[in-house]
Amino acid sequence: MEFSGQVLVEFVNAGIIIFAISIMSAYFILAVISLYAMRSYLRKNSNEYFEDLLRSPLAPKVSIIAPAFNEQLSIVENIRSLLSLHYNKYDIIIVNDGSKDNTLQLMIDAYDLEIIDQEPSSDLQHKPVKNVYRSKKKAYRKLVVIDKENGGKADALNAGVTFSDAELIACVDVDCVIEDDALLRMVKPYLSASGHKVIAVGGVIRIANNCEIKNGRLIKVRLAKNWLATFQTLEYIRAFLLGRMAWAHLDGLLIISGAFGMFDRKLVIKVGGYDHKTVGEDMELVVRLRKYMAEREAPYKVAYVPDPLCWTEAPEDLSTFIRQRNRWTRGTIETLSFHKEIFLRPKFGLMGILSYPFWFIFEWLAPLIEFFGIFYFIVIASLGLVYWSHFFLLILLVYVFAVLISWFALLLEETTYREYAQGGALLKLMFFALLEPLIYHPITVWGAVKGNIDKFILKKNSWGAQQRKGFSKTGKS
Amino acid sequence: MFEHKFLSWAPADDFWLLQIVLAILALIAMVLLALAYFRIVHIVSDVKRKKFESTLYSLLSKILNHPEKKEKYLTRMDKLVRRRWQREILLDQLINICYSFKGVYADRGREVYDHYKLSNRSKRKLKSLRWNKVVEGIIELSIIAEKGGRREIFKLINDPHPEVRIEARIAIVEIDRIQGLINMNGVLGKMSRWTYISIFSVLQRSPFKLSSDEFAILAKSKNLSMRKLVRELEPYAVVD
Repeated sequence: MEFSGQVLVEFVNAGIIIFAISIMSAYFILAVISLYAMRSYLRKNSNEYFEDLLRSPLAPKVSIIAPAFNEQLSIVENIRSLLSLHYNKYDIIIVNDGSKDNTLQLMIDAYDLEIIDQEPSSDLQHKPVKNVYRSKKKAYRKLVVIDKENGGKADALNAGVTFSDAELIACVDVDCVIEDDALLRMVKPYLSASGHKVIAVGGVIRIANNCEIKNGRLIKVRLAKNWLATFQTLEYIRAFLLGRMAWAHLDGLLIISGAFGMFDRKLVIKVGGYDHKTVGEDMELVVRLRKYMAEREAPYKVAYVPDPLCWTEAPEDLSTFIRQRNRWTRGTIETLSFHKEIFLRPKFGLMGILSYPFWFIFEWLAPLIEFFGIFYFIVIASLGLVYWSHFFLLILLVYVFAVLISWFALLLEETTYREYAQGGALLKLMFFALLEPLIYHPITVWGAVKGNIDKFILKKNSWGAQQRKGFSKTGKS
Repeated sequence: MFEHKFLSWAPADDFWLLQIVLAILALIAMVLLALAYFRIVHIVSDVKRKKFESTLYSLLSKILNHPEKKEKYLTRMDKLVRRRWQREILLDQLINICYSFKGVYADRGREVYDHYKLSNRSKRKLKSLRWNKVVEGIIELSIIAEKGGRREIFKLINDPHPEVRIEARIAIVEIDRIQGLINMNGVLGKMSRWTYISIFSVLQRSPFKLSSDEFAILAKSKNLSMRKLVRELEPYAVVD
């Protein structure tokens, strides 16, 4: 009995080491690739002149689609920020998704909106539209507001796509602050493509907590004061500068953040728009678009712009944060389940061979393995089967690797965008990188485990309540 | 094997794990040093750069606005612009001036460019092994040197690197306008929409004349993008 117990422990230990080494190797390789990709991108963009595109009547029209649900705190300011973007041909479609607060009336009053008779340009499914509004004032003619029954984010985005006549759609979270030249930078990869079609372009999201924001514009970047938001700042830098940069370089990007992404409108309509059945509609759409192109053997690419283009408010309290991670996990599970036929199928290119398995093992299963690892440890510790030196070495290995990757991401940030240039910010982020594996990571794991419980045991399929503080209440002016 | 006290803490089976940990710690130390280096370099160079830039801008504005005292200000600028990075900043500023202004300001900017013989520097960039340097050279020559770098740039319009190709094609039109399009007509490969829009914008920046002969040549082009471009240009052109 004792012998078989020891064999089992050694077997599981070997499994844990193999898993740990493989996940670390994967992240190390991604870090090296992203370093190369970033250098290449910066070289490419060191001589960028956007004035030609800015003036050109031939620039593709872009519709910015922003769903709004109970956004009365900041909707007027946020629209103002969207109205002042630097781009020649764009319109803004705000979809009021059955808000129960004063969102619609505030928009009507602030922008002098009147009901117009506008026919949809496609027949994507969405909840009934009550009214379509446009401003009477010339300065706000770009603004269209769609008032519809509540149907969720995917439904609202579909309504927006339906009423757009643009070549490209930029789907954004209405509470985000978008950089002035964001559209120009996002459109560039789409126009530069030669010999292949760029089906979607992803942008980088940064944390805006504690940043100085005036009239919906980002004035000064400051590191968040709240501990949870600081951890998220570090996580976003790592995820966007290391992970996504590398995947984009390999052309294996499976997700474009719902907070800011650009898509070919006709293609989105062809694949049926956003899926109502998932809470991870952003990832699901990208996977479906890729699948559509791969099945037709059409050359395509999902492009990525690593410049910080969109700033968002991160949750500052634990319950909202865990709800967010819970939802992200359910979104990942749903997307991977809806498209399981991709798994290890060379027909789908790198997505099938590498991206999908990576997401399956390291994004979906990894938190579960970590969580059950704790139970496993408690059991073998109580049975006296722990090799303590081996255990501490393994923990040390994982810890130092986590610190290395985070500091490497900070180094990349320091040598490229240096958004957090004020004194102490870098040191604070480095310090938080030391704490992250001990404090923040277990919380994200718990959020992911809860997502699995909600998905498979409680069969939950909703977004859950979202609480927005609005920038003015987060210490920003 | 494990004579050292610290290393002997790990059992022999796990020694490889300890080695990986030590290797990662070494990498962390390197990253830490790099972070410190870049931050210090940034702090030091930022102060230096800002000081240099403010003096340079003031001198440049004086040269542009008071051509009669040009020699005096150029002598002062000679003392200021000595290092390579300083010349690069000056070059950037001259590009911005020539790109944003036409007429006397652009001409005075070109005089400064010639004074420092910066066209040699720009032409050297065309031979660089780094494609981004080549692109830099193309942009500098097309915006400031005008016809001075035409021959060298023309050789790059079908360069294997897409970014070089794009910039070379735009530059040829920037330099020679419609004649540049005609010259490229026979040798032009596939054109991205970015190139197409940029060429169109370059031509549209100021009024141009497209004669019926030129129109006929371009309209019969084998290149689809070129034919499309000519259709777009027609309303803006003055056809004989």
